[in-house]
Amino acid sequence: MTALEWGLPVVAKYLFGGLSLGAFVTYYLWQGFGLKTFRPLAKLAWISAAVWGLLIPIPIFSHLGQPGRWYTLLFDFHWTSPMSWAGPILLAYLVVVLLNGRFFFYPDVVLAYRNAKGLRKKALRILLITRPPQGPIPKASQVGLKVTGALAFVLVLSFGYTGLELGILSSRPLWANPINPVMFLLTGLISGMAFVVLLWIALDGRVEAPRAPGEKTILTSFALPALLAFFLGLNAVFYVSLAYSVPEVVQAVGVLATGELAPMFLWVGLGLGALVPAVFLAANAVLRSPRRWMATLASGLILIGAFAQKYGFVVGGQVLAEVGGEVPSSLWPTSSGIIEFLSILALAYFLFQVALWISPWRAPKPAEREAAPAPEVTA
Amino acid sequence: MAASDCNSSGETTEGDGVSNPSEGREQGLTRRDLLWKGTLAAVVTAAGSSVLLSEATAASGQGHAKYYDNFPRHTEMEHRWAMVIDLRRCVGCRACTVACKSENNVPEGVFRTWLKFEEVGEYPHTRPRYLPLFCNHCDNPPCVPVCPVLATYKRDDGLVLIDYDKCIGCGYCIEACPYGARYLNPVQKTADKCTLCVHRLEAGQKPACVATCIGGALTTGDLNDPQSDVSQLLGRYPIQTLKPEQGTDPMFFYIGLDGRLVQEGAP
Repeated sequence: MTALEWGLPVVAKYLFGGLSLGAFVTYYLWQGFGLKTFRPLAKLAWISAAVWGLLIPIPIFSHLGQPGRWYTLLFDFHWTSPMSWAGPILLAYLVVVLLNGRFFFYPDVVLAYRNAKGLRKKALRILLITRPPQGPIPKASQVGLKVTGALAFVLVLSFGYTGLELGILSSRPLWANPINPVMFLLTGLISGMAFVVLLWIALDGRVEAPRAPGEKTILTSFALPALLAFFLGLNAVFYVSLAYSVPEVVQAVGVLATGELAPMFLWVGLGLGALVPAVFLAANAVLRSPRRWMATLASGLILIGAFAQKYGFVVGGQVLAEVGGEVPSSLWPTSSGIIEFLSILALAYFLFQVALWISPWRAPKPAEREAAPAPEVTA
Repeated sequence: MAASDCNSSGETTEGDGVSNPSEGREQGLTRRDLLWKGTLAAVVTAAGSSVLLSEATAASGQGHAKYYDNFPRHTEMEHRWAMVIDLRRCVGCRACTVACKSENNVPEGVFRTWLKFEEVGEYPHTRPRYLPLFCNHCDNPPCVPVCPVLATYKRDDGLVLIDYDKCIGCGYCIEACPYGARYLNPVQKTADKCTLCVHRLEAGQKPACVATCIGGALTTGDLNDPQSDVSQLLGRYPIQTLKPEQGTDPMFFYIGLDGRLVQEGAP
C-alpha cells in the first residue's frame, strides 16, 4: 500500500495551467480578436494569466523527487515525452506573455512610474525594461504587441500537451484517450475565464461600488454558459461511450461514476461545478437585470468544479489497471499534502496582491495624469 | 490593443498620446470571423493530438506479432537477458522478495519484487496460486519514451535501467508502466525498479531472486544462447507474458500462468 504517485501537486499544475490559459484567452479575445465584451476584463485577465503562469512551476517543483534537477527538462529534451515539452513551452510562454504585457501596459506603466514612489517606482522601472520616456508618453509598439500576443496565444493553446501527458499512457485505461487535450483546453478556458470574472467582480464590481461600465455586457455574456454546455455535452458523450468499452475501461469509469471518487468528480466537479453554474449564467444572460451575485456564485463554483474534475480524473486514473506493484492506500491527499497545496494557494494570493499593487490595472484618475506632468526635455 | 484603451472599468482613456487600436477593428473582425478562426484552431489542435496519439499507439504495438515465434532473438547482441518464471514450482515463500530487498538495499515500504497471492477454484476445492512480479524488461518498454529527461533507457542486452543521477523523480515512467513495477524510491527520490541484478549478471552470477528461489521457479539466462536454461525452457513449454495486449513484449516469461499445464509436464 502506497501513497498516490500523482496527487495534489499534479492536480495543481493542471489547474494553474488551465487558469493561465483561460485568463490569457479572455485577454486575447479583446486584445487579439477585438471582442468588446471582454474589454473591461482585459487588464485583469492579462495579470491573471501572468501570475498563474508564473505559478505553474511551483507545484511541479513540489511534485518532483529531485526538484534541483528541473533544469534538465530544458537541456535533455525528449520529443516522445509530452512532459518534456513542458520545459520549452512554459518558458517560451512566460517570456512572451511578459513581453506582451510590456507592450500592452506601456503607457499605463509610464504614467504610474511618474506618479509612484519608493519600492513601487523601482518595480515599475523594471517592468518598463527600457529607459522611461521624457515628455509625452510615446505609443507602445503595435507590432510588438500583436506579434507577442499572437505568439502567446499559440503557445497557450499548446497547453493541450497536458492532456497528452495522460492521453498517451495506454497503461491507464481512463486516461488513454485522444480527447484529453481538447478536454484539458476546454476546462482550462472555462476556469480561467471564470477566475477573471470573479476577480473583476471582487475588484471593480463590488456590491457597494457603483455599477462598473460594461458590467451588464459581461454578466449577460453567453460565452461561459455556452462553453459549459459544450463541456457537459462532451463529457456525456465521452463517459457514456467509455462505459460501453472493454471491461477495464468500464471499471475505471465506474470509479468516477459510482465509486469512491464519484462525489468529487461527478457531483462536485460536473454537477455543482459545471451544470449549476451553466444554469445560473444562462439565467443571467436572459434576465433583464442580471444579478451580480449569481455571476459571483457561478464563477466560484466553476473554480471549485475545475479542481474537483481534475482531482477526480488524475487520481481516478491511477486506481486501476496495474497487474502488480502497489495499489494506493487512499485516494485522498495526506494532511501534509493538503498543507503544501494550501501554501501554494497562499503564495498565489500573495503574488496576486503584489501584482495588483505594482501594476496599473486601474484606470488612472484625471488628477493623477495632471499631478505628474512629464519632465520637460531640455534642449 | 494597448492597455490605455481599456481600463479595468471599461472606460476609454483619451489624450495620452496613445492611439486607439480598436479603431477599424470593429470593421476588421466580425463575429463570423471569430467563430471561423476559433473552429479552425480547435480542429487543428484536435487533429494534431489525434495524429500524435495514433502514432504513439501504433509504435507501442510494433513487434507484438513476432514475439512468440523468433527465438533466439537479437543475435547481433552479445547477450539477451530474459527470465522464465515457472509458476508450477513457486511455493509462495517470498524468498525472492526478501533476497531482492537485501541485495539491492531496497528501502522500507517499497519493493522491486512482489508476490501476488490468489485463491483459485471454488470452495472447498480451492488452491493457492502465486504470481511473482518484477519489472518485465520489455522489448518495447513504455517507460522509456515517456521519460522527459532520458533517464530511463534500454541497453543493447535488453535490460531496462535508470540513470539515477539524471532522474528527476517526476513519476511519469511509474504511471506508464502497465505492470506497476516501478516506484519512487523514498530515500534517493528517484524512480526505481528491478535491474535484474545487473551488477551480479555482469559478474557472472545469477540475480539474487533466482539464486535464492527454493523451488527453482525462477530461471534467468541469455536468449542468444540456445543452450541456456531459458532458451531450453522456452523451447519446451508454452509460455505466457503479462498483459500481452499492451504490446510491450516482456522479456519475463511465465510457465503455467493460466493453469493449462499439468504438473506431470514439469521438467
